[in-house]
Amino acid sequence: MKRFTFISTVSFLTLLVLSTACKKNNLDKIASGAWNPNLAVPLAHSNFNVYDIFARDDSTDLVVIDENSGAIALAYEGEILSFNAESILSIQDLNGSTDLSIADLNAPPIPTFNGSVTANNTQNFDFDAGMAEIHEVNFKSGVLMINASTDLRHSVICEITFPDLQINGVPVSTTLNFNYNGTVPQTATATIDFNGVEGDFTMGNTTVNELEAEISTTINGSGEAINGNEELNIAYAFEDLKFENATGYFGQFNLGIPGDSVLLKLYQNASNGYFELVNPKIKFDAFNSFGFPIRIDLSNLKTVDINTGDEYPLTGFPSTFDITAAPAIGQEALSTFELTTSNTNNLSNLVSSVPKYFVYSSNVQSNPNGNVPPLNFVSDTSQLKINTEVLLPLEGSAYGFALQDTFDFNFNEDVEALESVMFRLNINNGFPIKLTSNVVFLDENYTPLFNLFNTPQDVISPALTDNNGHVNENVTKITDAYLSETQILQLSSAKYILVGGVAETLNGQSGEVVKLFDSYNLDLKLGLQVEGNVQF
Amino acid sequence: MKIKYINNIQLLFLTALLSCIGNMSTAQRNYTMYGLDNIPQAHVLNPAYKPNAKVFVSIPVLSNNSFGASNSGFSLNDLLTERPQDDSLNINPSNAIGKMSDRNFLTLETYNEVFAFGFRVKKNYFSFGVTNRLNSNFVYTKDLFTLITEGNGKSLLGKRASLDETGINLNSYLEYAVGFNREINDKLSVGGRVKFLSGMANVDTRETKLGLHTDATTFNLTFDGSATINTSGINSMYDSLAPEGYTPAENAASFKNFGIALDLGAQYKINDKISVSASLLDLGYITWKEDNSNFVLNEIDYRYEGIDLKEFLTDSTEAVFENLEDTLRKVFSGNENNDEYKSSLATRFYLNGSYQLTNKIQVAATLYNEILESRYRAAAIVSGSIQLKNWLTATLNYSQYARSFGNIGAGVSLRGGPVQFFVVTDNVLGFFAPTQSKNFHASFGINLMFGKPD
Repeated sequence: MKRFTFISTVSFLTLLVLSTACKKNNLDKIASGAWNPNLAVPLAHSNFNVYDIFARDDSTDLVVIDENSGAIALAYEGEILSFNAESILSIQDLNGSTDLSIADLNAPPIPTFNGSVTANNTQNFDFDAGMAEIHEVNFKSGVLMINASTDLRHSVICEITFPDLQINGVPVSTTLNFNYNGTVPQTATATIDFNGVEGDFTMGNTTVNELEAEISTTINGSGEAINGNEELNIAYAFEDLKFENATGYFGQFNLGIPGDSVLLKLYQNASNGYFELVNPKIKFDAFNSFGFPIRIDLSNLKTVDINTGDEYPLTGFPSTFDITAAPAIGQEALSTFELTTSNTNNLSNLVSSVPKYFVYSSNVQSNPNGNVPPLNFVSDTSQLKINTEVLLPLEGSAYGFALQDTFDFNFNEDVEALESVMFRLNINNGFPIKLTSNVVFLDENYTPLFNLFNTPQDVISPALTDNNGHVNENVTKITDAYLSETQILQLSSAKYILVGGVAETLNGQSGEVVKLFDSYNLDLKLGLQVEGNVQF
Repeated sequence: MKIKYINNIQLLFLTALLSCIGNMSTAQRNYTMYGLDNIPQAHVLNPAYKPNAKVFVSIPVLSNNSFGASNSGFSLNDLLTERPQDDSLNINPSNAIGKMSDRNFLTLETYNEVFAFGFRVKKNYFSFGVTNRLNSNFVYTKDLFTLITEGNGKSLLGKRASLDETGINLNSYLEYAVGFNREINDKLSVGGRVKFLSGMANVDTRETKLGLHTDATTFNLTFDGSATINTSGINSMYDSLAPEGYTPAENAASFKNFGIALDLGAQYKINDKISVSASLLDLGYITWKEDNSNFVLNEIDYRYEGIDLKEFLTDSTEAVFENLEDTLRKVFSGNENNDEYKSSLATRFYLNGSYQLTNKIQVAATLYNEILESRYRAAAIVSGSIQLKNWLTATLNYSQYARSFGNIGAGVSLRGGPVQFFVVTDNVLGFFAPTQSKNFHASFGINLMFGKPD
């Protein structure tokens, strides 16, 4: 009985378990399934400071920070003018000659001459240096070539000395020797190197641009006759004279400067908008190492919107910029000239309409007051360089400031496996600037495929400011952009994306002034969430 | 031997694959064989047991072959749910996730007795056996399964997906066992087996502390943790520079990876009706020296925030991604060495008490315990055995193991002349209802028994 009970119990339990098991799932009934993983990944991030935003393109973009307040300004620089010493002073090549007769040589006609006679003569040279009146010159190169000949049948010694050309305090001199050997004419040559020669061209403060040569001759008789019509001919050629420095008066000359411009990159991608800065400034810095004053007449200053061609001339500005002379050779003088809202009529308005370029033209005149002491000087390294700087302190208001740029886009992945795509833009903004934006996906012909947002979205909210326009609270804005299934399928056709936006400072339309400081930054994080749909 | 090893490895991966997709949920602990003490192989589970026959010889290849697998995380039924509109089945990972605990186990064990024999000398019993063994244990977290099936953008968004303690522990070795059993008196029998082990392959995950946190707002990904994994004999599976044609099975008889283990057992008859027994198995270790590759992933705490736009704006796209690749390579850099190391075996012990209802029927309660890498797991079994004939014995049991209830085990041994056949399973449902089972197990074998086998 016990055995029967045990076997019965075991059999019942076994059948119960097996029957329960067998009624359950049949694997043949598995319907086609789908794997829908949902992946969330960060795509990009960065923290942008004022340098990253305003001075990203190249080093010529300069962010200027006020050391005390931290206030920032944008400075766009350009070089207006630069000319060097050779365009101011150039000593032309000079050719001259001296013909000394028997009388000049102090030698009387005689059938037989066995004695010795000496004579002294001079020769002046007047140099052409254009408008320049040369007083003194230190030469660094150049030559004087002397070619002489005579039909005297006697030996001749000819010594040529330039008292006002000296090397280390010793006058420059050369000697021509004619050793008679029975044939005439006799010839002799000499060359003087001007490297290191110091020249005084004033003839003892009596004139300018002149030099004198002293010619001493000695005739030693050979027993031949002196007929009375013989001559000693000397030819001079001053060539390639280059100065190291020079003094004198270099005259009043004008250099008309062709128009040039400074690209204001703040507006480079801007197409529209109103921009008002409290205190813009245009600054000219002149670095003059010439030893004479220069005057610049600013004849035409304006900004130009190259999109529309509209020009905005600056008016009411002081047009004369006097540049002082360098204090000494090898030094330079800095002269500064500023155009501000105080000394112009409309400088604020000039930068209010996204102008793109600051355009200028001017005229330059040396020695504007004429030949007045002290003397001018110039060195071979002298130059005048004038830099212009458009300084835009970022204090003011803006609205409707439209920016846009186009980027290449390529997405050739298998989008059919994507069920949904969501981009998340997370921006913590420390700038008091709002950005309303949209992104347009374009095909290869730049034809729009779809917009990321139905209407432009505020993707960046402005930071909040105190009464002084200083940011006291960052603001975070999270923007989720969803792509529909249709848009996902269009991604592979998209070849470009057009990113456009309209910026506005905090309450910019109300004219509220905000200030930008170097401590501001913007933290951007871009994430992507996709849901796949893999059928199996 | 080589062929067997390859089959084991293939079987392991096949099982892992099948289990991952929920096709089966299986386990083997041989509780049922423990209650079928008239077959010689019960001696393997308790060295104090011995067959009635004076001499036993296994038939090579056809002797004890055992296979078991278990997935504690979920069964196939947990993964498949019926559609409301019809009786078709949908794959529903979230339902399976709901059934999981934070940490889950996928285990596989094979036991292939190559050759064995035993003989009795008066009150002493001597045995010898050569066995090919494979034990593997894959630990996976609920978060790992969640990460694979639903990604990091749903329930794991804003949380740390924990992969802590995820890893594989695998032991493949050849066991040479010498056993001795003695009847101390009428009531007490004791036995022991000394096992010399020749390791073939090993994966020993010493430490994994890995996590992935996804920021709910920015989607920033933060990786943290460290890992240490020792391996031996598996280079040829992934390293193209490994010697061609080399297989770990070459180490089967070389004892280059030498190990030693001990089995101990005792059986005590309290009276004619009641007896108790206990055994301690696989207390030992293997020292791995041959074909080792040990990997240490240094402590990492790295947050990926996406590409730095400033880099992107100033550098070429290629340069940006090269920089990113360099960074990731540095962050996730690890050390590799070929140092020798020791791995412990999965030590088990049984506690059993039985009551003889009649001359033919016995009931018993067994507590199975397992310690693996400092983790303790237990199973409780109640069983009944009946000797219907001298040549026919059957057993049936109920066990709870691996958060799986309702496991019905069964076994039977048949003998015709000197030939004994047996087949046992710890979970009958594993055959009839694999979709509901978390455990699967089967053992079978043929022995030759001589000298009063009854």
